[in-house]
Formats: sequence, structure tokens, C-alpha cells
Amino acid sequence: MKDKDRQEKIQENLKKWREGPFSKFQQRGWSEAYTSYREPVKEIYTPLDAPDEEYLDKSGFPGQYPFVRGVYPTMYRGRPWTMRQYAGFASAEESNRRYRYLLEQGQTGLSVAFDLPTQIGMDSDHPLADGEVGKVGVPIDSLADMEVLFDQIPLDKVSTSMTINSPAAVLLAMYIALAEKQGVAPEKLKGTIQNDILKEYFARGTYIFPPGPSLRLITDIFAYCSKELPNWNTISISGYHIREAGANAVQELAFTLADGIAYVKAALEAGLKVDEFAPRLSFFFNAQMNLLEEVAKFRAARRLWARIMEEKFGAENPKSKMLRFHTQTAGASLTAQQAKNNIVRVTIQALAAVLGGTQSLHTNSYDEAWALPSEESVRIALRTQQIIAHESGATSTVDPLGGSYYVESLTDDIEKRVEEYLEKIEEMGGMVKAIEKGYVQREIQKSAYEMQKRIEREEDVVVGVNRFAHEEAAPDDLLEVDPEMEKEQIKKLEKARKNRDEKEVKEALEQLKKTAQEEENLMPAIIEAVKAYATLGEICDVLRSIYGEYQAPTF
Amino acid sequence: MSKQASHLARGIIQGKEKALAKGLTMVENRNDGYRELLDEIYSEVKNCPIWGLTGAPGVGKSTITNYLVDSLAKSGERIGVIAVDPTSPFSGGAILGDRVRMMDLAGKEGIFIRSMASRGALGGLSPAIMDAVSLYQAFGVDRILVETVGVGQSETDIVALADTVTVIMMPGTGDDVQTIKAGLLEIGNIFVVNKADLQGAETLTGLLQSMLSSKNSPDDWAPPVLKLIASTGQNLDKLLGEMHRHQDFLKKSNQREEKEKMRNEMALKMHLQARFQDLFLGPLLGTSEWEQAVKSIGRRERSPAYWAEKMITGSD
Amino acid sequence: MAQNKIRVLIAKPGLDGHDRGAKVLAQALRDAGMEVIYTGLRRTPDQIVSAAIQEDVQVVGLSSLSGAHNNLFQKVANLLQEKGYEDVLLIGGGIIPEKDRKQLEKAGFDRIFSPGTSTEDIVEYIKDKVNE
Repeated sequence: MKDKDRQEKIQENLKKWREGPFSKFQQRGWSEAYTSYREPVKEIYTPLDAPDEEYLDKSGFPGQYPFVRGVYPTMYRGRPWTMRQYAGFASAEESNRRYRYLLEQGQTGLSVAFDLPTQIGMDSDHPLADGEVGKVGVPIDSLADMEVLFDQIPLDKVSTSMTINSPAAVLLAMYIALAEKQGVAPEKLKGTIQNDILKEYFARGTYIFPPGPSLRLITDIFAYCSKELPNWNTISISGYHIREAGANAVQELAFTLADGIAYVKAALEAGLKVDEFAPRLSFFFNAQMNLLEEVAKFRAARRLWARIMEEKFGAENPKSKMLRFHTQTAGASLTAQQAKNNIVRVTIQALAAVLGGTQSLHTNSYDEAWALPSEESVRIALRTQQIIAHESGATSTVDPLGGSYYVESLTDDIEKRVEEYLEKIEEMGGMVKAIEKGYVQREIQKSAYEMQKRIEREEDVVVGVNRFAHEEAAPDDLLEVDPEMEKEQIKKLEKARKNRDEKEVKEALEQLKKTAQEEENLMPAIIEAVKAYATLGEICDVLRSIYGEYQAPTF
Repeated sequence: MSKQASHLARGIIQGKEKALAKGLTMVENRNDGYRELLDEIYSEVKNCPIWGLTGAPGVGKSTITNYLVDSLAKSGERIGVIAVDPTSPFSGGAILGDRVRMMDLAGKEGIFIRSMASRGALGGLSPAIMDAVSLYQAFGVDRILVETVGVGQSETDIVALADTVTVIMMPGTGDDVQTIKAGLLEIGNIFVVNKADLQGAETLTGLLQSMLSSKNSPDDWAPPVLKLIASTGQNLDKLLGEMHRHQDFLKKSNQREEKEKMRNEMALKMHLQARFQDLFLGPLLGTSEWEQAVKSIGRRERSPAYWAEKMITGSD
Repeated sequence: MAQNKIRVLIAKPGLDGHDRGAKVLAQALRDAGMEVIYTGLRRTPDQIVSAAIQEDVQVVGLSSLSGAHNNLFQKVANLLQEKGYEDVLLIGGGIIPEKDRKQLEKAGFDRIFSPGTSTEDIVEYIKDKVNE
């Protein structure tokens, strides 16, 4: 039978089925179903939704353009994903102890969580830092803290991921300065900085400077690393926080890719060549509850990025077109009620990430709706990944859901809707303008509010919250941060300020100020300043004095 | 005499912040005693310049207000700010977000900021805003800044309220011939094109200038058009300069008194309207005659105009 | 005619940038007919209390997910008391362990809401308490 005849035949039989057995049973019971972006899900998907003749063009093979089926030919049969648990401890000493323990256990990748003052470029004694020091991660005020954080850890032997955005250049400069002290050449350094400022303006909130100067800092990092740190991932373009802020799957993907496009454009405008920096771009997504939709989202992301890089930016290096990504399970899906149910939620989400072809994964701990995770809950989260990797069989073949009529159809649908968003943002003059106009914020806010209302109307079920609820005691074995920690950190900061050569600091900061007013790459001046033990707050204040601070749009 | 009103009036005159805050609530809510309160403070009301800022949502009003308040306060002035946001016609509630931009000023000596919803005033200024100005003036501020969303009625209301009106626009939000025609040209003493680094800023500025130059200016004041970038502070000092210049102009040309008279008339009119409503409309609502009229109008027997006349005068 | 409206201040003390919950709640309160003053991110206890006093709100709602609640929430409660403003309805929400919730409720907070509380419940709670 020819393709066309076969399709007609399917069409005909589908109609018969719909009018016959389906409609008869539908009267006995039927419920509506929607995607996260509120599109109705059909009662059945067939080859009509994912025709074979489109296979070579739309899917192809793993490791080949457009990478829908995966970025590497062998995927998990060749090497499992990296199990990378993001963790922050209240002090550099404590974090260092934990890192060394993990390295002794055979781990090679570190993931550093910084506290909020560090993420916002404030020293620990800043008035606004009051109560926040060491709370969600490690405080770093100067190179002195960095020396403690990586004490006895050879920087040429580990790969370090740092969740740092607005002041990413300063933390990277400290890492480079520390490597020099250890006698490690910059080209040997491996790791990632998040360095994704745009999402901070509308989803995560740790912004400092306005978009223009922020983009300059980012492209300066791209340029510097392409020459000096070729093995460094210069950015992790993050949809995770966008989803957490209330976006649906399409918005998560659309706004992340729009951010990515803005970075590529900024780098090209700064005179870089696309194949010089694009292979070092990486992504970071959320894994939410809707298993199959999430898998489709990851697949669509790869195809979209490959096409954008090839068609829009003329990338030639296949690595420039590969969307490599880290995944974290959805923090916002964790419930405080019946907290242990979260273990099951995380399992489903982690499975979505694996079936979607993630390169690395963080699984949340079940008690995170109450506090920072305890040691036991972190262990269960890690074991969840290990069970999926070693027991579930989900890793046995590449992209096992490829060819599912439903998943293929969802992949196409998400792709189409993301393209519509991207066009709209382009019409507004790009992502920076869309953020400044408050458009992105409003779209997300609308989704978040509607989602909350659906839960309250019980249209969306959250087990243990609006259905199947029962009274229970809250967990009590939670992690606590010692409030004395903050005072100790401030003492350390004062000591570091006392032990340095003030003249050297002043000169380095003057030089930085001069560079910031001109067009030269900022990285060398920042590296000189951190070497003189200028603090993070001092360095950022110099930049604030030139660039000003970002003002969020009113509500 | 309401004891609470008396107590608040004394506190306001003595410059107590908490009394002012509570007094503002009393007049805004039209709670018992608000008339006594207004009357009791009235002899202590001292005239001061009132600057109005108006523009569509998102043009940067709050950022500009924030700058103005900060610089004026630094020169030693006591400043009162009223930031008006629209009330939702569906729920009657409102989100008052202007403080987001002014939080750095909160708690600074000599700066008092109050957010007010437009409430029933159909997009315009609620009568309570007039009264709020009086409370500020009895409390003793050197200057009042009123920030309103430039939609509909409030544009004309702000003229009656403020001595100097600054109209803020930005490129690319439909601030074009259409909206300019809608009356903005008539009300502005100063025009601002904010976000002047955006595309279309030149066009908008040019358009404004040409439209303003073709307009007769009966009062010899040629409204300036200023380009600025509020987020970086560029040209904000110039705006402040122009506002002061307009204030001097009003003084020299004796127009301050005129403005003052207009404001007093407006306040009287608003209070009369409110009283008429209380006295005449209130008692009619829901009466049997009311119900009869509504039915009759529904059946197309007689018009609302007929019924209104009949209910007031008793005759056909 | 009196036109009373419930006025609420929703504030984010500290450096936490997660404002999804605060914004969703602000919108829900607006839709329930209240006037909501939103402060935006990165506010100090001083700024929050000063705004609450000038705006003469009946309700102050704080949100924090960074673990800094014990320190910052407590400071807001203390400052409100110091300034003679203890009659305000003081509520909070975020990632707050049970132990801290109990402690804050002893120290001046009327109620700390746990994650997953419906906005409707909060609206009802506020209406009940304010009209008491």
C-alpha cells in the first residue's frame, strides 16, 4: 500500500472508531485533559499525527542534526548522565570539608551554591545582608574565602559548577586567581558558571546591573574564556527558574531560547565568531510533573536550538548546534503536606529528564518545602537517580519515546508554539525590550495565577493538598543554619580587609573603574582586583557606580 | 464633634506621621467624622506648590517621581507624595505598585508617601485626593507630588489639582497622534519623552514639538519637551529645573491665585456632589418608586430621563 | 457614605528573589476587593514598617523563601510594636519550618501560612480578622 492510501485508510478507521466504540464508551465516563499550556489533549494519537515520511527531516539520528533524539550517538549506553547535586553549606570551611569527602568517594564534579549576598554582589556586612549570610549557600567575600573553599582541592582535577549570575565575572576571576596560586594553568580549568542574567530580571531576582552592562560582562566572559579557558562552560541558559516562577512548558522553553538568542546576538555584536563561543553554551531546564509533555519539551528544545543556530546564526560547527542541558526536578511541585509523597514526584520528574536525554541531573529532596534538605533526604534524592540509571531500564536505548505518536505530536506542537513566542519577542525588538516592557513578567504572572486558581477550584489535583488530604505532623529533623555563622563570616571579612595592601586595592579598583568606562575586556582588571583581595562588594560597587542598578518594573 | 476626628486633627497639625496616615484613611473612606476633620484642620492649611505627573502605565512615572522626591528632600524640603493607581472595575480592589520604585525613600525624614486607588472615580481622581492634599498642607509639607495614571478622566482632573502638570510619554507604546489628540496637549505644562534611547524617541519628540508650536498659548508659557532616560538619571536634573521654572512663571504671572481658586471651586463642587448623592440619590435607591421606574424603563414605557426628572421634582 | 476597603501591604524582606507566591497572593487579594500595596524585592524591615505606617494598612503580609525569616520577620514584628502599631494583622508565608512557625506566632505574628495554603483561605482569614 502506498503512504497516501494507508493514511486514508487510517483516517477512515479512526472516524469509524470515534463514532462507534469510542463515543459509546465516552458516555459512561470521560474527563477533559490539557497540556500545561492549556491545549486540549486528543482522545487518541495515531500515525496521522506523526507520519513516517517526516522522520528523516524532523528526527534523524542521535548525535546528528537536528539532534531531536539526543546530542550523542550512544547516550546513556556510552556514559550515564552526571548526577550533580547542588548544595550549599553555611561556611567555606564546612563546604570544603564536604567537597573533599565527595571527592574521596570518587565524585569529580563539584556544584557550588552561594548565599544571596554573594549572588547580589554584597559583602557579608552590608545592611541588606542581615540574616541572609550563609543561608542558601556559601558566603564568598574575597579571594581569602575562595582559598578556604578549595583548600587542598587540585583545580586541574575537578570540574566545578558555580550557580552565580550577576557577579559571575568576579567569582570566575577568583577561581582563575586561585588556580594561578596552585600553579594550575587556566586552560586546564573545567567547569560552568550560570552567568545567565536575563532570567534574573523576570524569574529569579538576583540582578544587579541594568541589561546593557550585564550583557557586556557576559560577552567579555565569552571572549576571555574562548582564548584563556577553552574548557569552561561560559553560561548555563536557564529555564529552570522561569518554570518555577509559574511559566508553562512552552513559556519555559520560549523565554529560555529567547534569552539564548539575545546572548548570541550580543556576542556577535561584540565581534565574536559564532563557532568560537557557541559550543560552550549550555542550558538548564526544569522537569515538571507531566511526564510525556516534559519529554516532548526536551526533544523540541534540541530541534529548535539546532535550527536557530544553523538558520539564524549560520553556525557550522555541529557542537554550536547541540543543545546540551542540565535538569533539576521542579522545586515548586514539592508539597509541604505529606512531604514523603515528594519522593514519588521527584522520581517521575527525574524519569522525564532521563527519557528526555539530559546531560546532568539534580533531584530535589522531599523536605525542601520546609527547609534546606537534611542529609537523609539528600541521599534519597541521589538514590532516586541511581535507581533510574541502574534498575529501570529507561537507559537501555536512546530516546525510547521517539516514535510515540503522542510524544512526537507534542514535540511538534510545543515547537510551533515556542516559535510563535519567539516571533512575537522578535517583533518587540528582542528579549531585553520584552523584559523592560514587562511583557515576559506579565505572561508568567498570568500563568502562575491561573494555575493557582485551577488548584483552588480543584480542576488541577495536587495529592495531599486539594485532594486526599489528611492531618499530619510536620517533619522535625530539618537542617538548621547556626545564626552565629553570620558574625563569624563578618569577622573573617574584617580580617581579610586588614591583611591586604590598601594601596594595591585602591589602584586595582581605579583601574577597574577606568576599564568599565571604556570598551576593553573587563576580565583582566577584575582578576587584578581579586588578586589584591578587593572584596566582591567593593568590586561590584565600582561597577554599580558606572553602570547603575537595575530597577524592576512596578508590579 | 467626633472625638477621634478632633484627636487626629490635632496630631496632623502637630506634624505627627501616624495621625496623618490615619486621617488620610478617614477621608479616603469617608468614615464618620471626616468632615469635622477637614474643617478642623482647614485654618492650618498652608498653600504649597502641587506638582502633577501623569502618563500611561510603564512610562516611568514612579522612577521620575522617586528622583524628584529624593533631590527635593536632599535640599531640605518636606515632601508629600500621592501615588494614584486605578481600581479594578470588576472587584473594586487595586494593586498599588508605585511604592516598588519609591521604597528607598520610605522612612526617610521629611518624606511621606501615600498610595491611593482611584476607587469609584471612573479612572479619574477620587474626591478624597483633594482632601488628602489639604491634610498634607495642614501637616506641613513644602511640596506635594501627585502621580496619576494618564487614562481618561484623571487627565483633566489633574489640571484642576496641580499647579504644574508634567506629561510623561515614551516611544513605541502608541503615544502617537491619536493619543496626543486626546487632550494631553491641553493639560501639560512640561512634556517628557522618557526612555529616549528607544527607537522612535526622535519622532515622538518632533511630533510633540510641532503640535505644541501650532497651539496657541494664551498664558505665554511655551511647554518644553524634554528627552530623558529616567533609569540612568540622564536629564532628570533638567526636568527638575523646568518644573521650578514653571513654578516661578506662575508666581510672576499671578496665575497661582487663579489655580488656587480653581482648586477651591473643584473641591467645593466635589463635596457638593457627594452631599447631593448622600442626601438625594441615597434615599431613592431601592425604594418602590425606584423599582417602578426601573421596570418602566425596561418595558420601554418611559425613558430614564423622564424618571429622573419625576423623582426629583415630583412632576412629569 | 463610608467606603471602607481592606488595605494590605505585601512585602519581601531580605534578598530572596522568589516572588511568585507574593504576586499571586497580591492578585488574589485585589480580586477579593482589597487594596494591595506591593513593595517589590529586597526590602529592609525599616522600609517595610515605615511603608505600613504611612499607608495605614490593616494587614502586613511577609514572604521569604531563603531561610532568613527568623531574623527578618522578627525584626518587622518588633519594629511594628516599637512604633505602636501592634494592632495590625501580621501574617507570613514561605519556606518556614514548623518550629519557626510556632516561635513567630508567639512573637507577634497572627498567622504563618504553610506552602500550599489556598489564596481563598487567606482571603477569608483576613476578612474575618479585620472585621472582628
